[in-house]
Amino acid sequence: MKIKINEQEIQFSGSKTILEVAREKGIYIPSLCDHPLLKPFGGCRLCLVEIKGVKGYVPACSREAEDGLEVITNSPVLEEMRRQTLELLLSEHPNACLVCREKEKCEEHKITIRKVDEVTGCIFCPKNNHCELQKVVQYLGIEKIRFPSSYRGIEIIREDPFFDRNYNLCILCGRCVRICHEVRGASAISFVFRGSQTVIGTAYNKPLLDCGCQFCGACVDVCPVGALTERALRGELEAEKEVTTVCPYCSQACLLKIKVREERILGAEPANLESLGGMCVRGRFLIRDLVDNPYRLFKPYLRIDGELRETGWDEALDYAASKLASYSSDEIALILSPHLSLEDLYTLILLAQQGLKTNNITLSTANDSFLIIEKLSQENDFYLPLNYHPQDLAEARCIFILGGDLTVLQPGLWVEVLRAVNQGAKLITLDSVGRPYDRFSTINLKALPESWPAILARLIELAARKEGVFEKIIPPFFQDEGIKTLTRASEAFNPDGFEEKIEEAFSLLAHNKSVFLLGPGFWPFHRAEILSLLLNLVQLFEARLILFGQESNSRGASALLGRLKLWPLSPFDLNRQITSGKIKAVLCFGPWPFLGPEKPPFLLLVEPYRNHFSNSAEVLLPAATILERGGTFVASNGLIKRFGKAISRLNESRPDWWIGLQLGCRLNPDFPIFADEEDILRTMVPLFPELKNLITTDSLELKEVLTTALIEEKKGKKKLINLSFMENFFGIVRKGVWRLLIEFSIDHYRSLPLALVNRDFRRIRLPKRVKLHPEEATKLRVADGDAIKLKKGKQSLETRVKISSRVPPSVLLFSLGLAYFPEDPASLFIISSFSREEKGSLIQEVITIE
Amino acid sequence: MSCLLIKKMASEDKEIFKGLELNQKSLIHLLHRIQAQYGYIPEEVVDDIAERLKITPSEIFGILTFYKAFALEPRGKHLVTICLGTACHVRGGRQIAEEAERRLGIKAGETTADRQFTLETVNCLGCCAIGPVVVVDGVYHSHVSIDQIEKILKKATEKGDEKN
Repeated sequence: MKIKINEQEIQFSGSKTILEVAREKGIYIPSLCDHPLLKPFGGCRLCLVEIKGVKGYVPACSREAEDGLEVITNSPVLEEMRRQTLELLLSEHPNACLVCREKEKCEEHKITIRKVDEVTGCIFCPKNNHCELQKVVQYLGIEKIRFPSSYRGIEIIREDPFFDRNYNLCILCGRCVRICHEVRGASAISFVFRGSQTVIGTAYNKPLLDCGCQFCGACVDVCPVGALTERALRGELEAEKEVTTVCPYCSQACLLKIKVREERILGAEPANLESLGGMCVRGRFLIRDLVDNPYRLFKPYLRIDGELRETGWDEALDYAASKLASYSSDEIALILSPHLSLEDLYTLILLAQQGLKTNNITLSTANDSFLIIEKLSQENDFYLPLNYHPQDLAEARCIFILGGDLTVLQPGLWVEVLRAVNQGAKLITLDSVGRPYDRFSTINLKALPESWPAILARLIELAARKEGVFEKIIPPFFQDEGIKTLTRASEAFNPDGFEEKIEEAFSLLAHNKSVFLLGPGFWPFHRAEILSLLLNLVQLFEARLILFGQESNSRGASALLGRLKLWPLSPFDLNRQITSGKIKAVLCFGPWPFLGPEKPPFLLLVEPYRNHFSNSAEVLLPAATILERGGTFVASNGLIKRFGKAISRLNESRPDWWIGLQLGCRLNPDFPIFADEEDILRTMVPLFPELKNLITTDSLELKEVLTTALIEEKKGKKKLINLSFMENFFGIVRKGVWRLLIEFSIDHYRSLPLALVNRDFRRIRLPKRVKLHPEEATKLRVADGDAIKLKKGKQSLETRVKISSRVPPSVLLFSLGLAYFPEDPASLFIISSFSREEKGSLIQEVITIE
Repeated sequence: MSCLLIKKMASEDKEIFKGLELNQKSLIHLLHRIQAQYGYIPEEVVDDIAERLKITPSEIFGILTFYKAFALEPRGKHLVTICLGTACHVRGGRQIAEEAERRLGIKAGETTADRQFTLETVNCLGCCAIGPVVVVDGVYHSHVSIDQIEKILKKATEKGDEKN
């Protein structure tokens, strides 16, 4: 198809607006409200164009380009109209600097800086020099504003975490409202009031914290002016450089543009449009806290005479190696974090196998879903594709989410789900707690996690009957009565029509192309059982399975361990062996969530941060954070991303692989020597042929993010897993009135809980509060923020209340990340509240509230 | 009436949802019913209907504040609406509004302390030919002049008293 813009003939294809076609060709049409992620809005009226044969003037942003259109974008009439529109806009926006004749000289000599105050000038505006309004004013050459100016005088809203809202600068382009509604599905803000009183606001002007805001920062990123600004950047000078890297927090692995000045991180922004819609509060606002915080370790420490003393690297490593050499290989264990890069993990596994001659390795994520799948598929000899492309979700007609709040854990994936839902896909949720996306779902299955296996098993039963494989996978003890008995027996079902809801869900899943999304869920969570059930469902429905809410390199760690056929110890086993004295030395490269009261005699801690274990460690080695060195991650969708460092290493911290290598060489003279990360990747190629494409240069000089896909080795081989394990499945037996529900969070990097280092983040997540249903709160006569005391036997825990209607009645909901477990009194209380009974089910002790 | 009570009424009042689909399309219709029943849209009700209609309270608040038909606070016994549309404006609508403000001792959009009168201005009532227009409790007064205001307001109170 062809159109003519300003006499220039342009070829284009597909459905595009005139503005898009013009932009692709480099023809500038001023516009302030249009954004590539958003639907056409036609609000600012600056992109008006003339079309031959069409009466009047047409906004280019909302008119589809049709074959043969002749468009004029820059006639004198249009320019004059735009100027007038812009002057009207500017009459309500501070404009002294925008139309100042000495603007250019001012940049250099600051001659007029004192002539305008903060309210009317640009000089103190955080968006100065990045402002889209400034650009348009310059393009249209506005020198004078013919309308009287009026300053709105709205108070700046500073009460919310992370960003300020100054609606005196707002031009009402609506980008923030639209991205919140269209892309994120949060609709926390909208246009309120009407006519000249219109502002962007929340319901009854409540703070964003109470309006379902996810603090993803998308509104800040699309704001063309300085109305929405990140508070941490206030008072900072311009960034000297911007480095593109991969977000270190979760396995969505968004691309970040990190702003750096004098080797200090100022902040991070989404590096591309894809990340812009899908960022989360961690990646958008907490990157700086990962590097700069008071818990950072900068020097190696040795325990001398019971006290930790600063020392040099050689001394520390020699001491550690000599100490480790004194233990036999069975007595040593290694704990690895899934936040480590592939290079680190590989070197540390070599350290275990060749240096320490042990296979006692465990991942700090107790029971990593990716790893369970690796194991299940190797044991049962089937192959399940886990890699996914955006179109896999876009083409799905039915999406089943279970195991956590997708908008909190991995919003990048949620954004894709929402897009599919907006195109007609049906959403089914299985959850214990209300979620913000419940309002988008067709079927809402609300049940406590102990009933989930029964619900999934019921779905399998229905599918298996249809496929004629019922006898094959449903064990005999269910065949007579069916699993209905099991679902009936498990508690906390919606009394009305729950069975029908499951059947409805089945018919949706059976008749549509489906995707299952599984999050980390609740603790204690029957993850292996749930995964076995899901794998059957996925195969029966010919659906896909996507895991969300995992640590940044969780998939990489699992792939590496799976390919080496190394199945890590469960953390409980490890604890048992430490308590019994079988394991005497532990090397800890990550958080260690389930540590009991017994500590091993020799503890070597390699971490970027001081943590609660530092006091019991013999040796403390400062690891560099991933931002100071670069690395390689495998994202949850199977893309391998290799990236460089954002800043140089701080002080004496070193990469984990270097530490592993140094220890390895001291323990075993034949230990392979790596010069750099490049070298490690090259050695890994026989195991990971995919990495070949990523080896180009040393990671220290890597300027961009290199990406390649994880190869899917085999093609879908079907094999159903027999459900015989369900025979012993009785879930959790609750004693007393209250049910403790512990939701997994991934708000940590290695052993650092992010809420510990950022006050604003604490306000969002309230990590130490117990959440209660409003009716229960009324019964107990407690309000938000009140202190209550939970008691269990002789143990007690003082905590504060957060009232939330999302929590089901008679439930005490805690949210805990791996990095929280041991240091928080809540976690000790929680872990000790469950005891294991025979047959694998758990008993939850009686809990009372004072 | 306490807020909690109002909330309970709205959510348990089956009449209010009668014949309406529970989705976004019903919002304005529902708000009209609530406005008619309670004289304003209570804050607690907004959260409740947001959940039922599967939209967010902020979206509802945007609609509420856009239309003059919905009040955020309880209105007085008598509603006085003065048109400030172009036609009424040029015939002295502004001065009439000011006179009403002076007489009632409140600004447009406010309610008198004795809860007798709520004064509102609108941007057009669609009956420009008979402007300036003042509407009191649904009764249209045409070609109003400043000196008629006192009488109009007085009549409204008398009418109300008669009913009682």
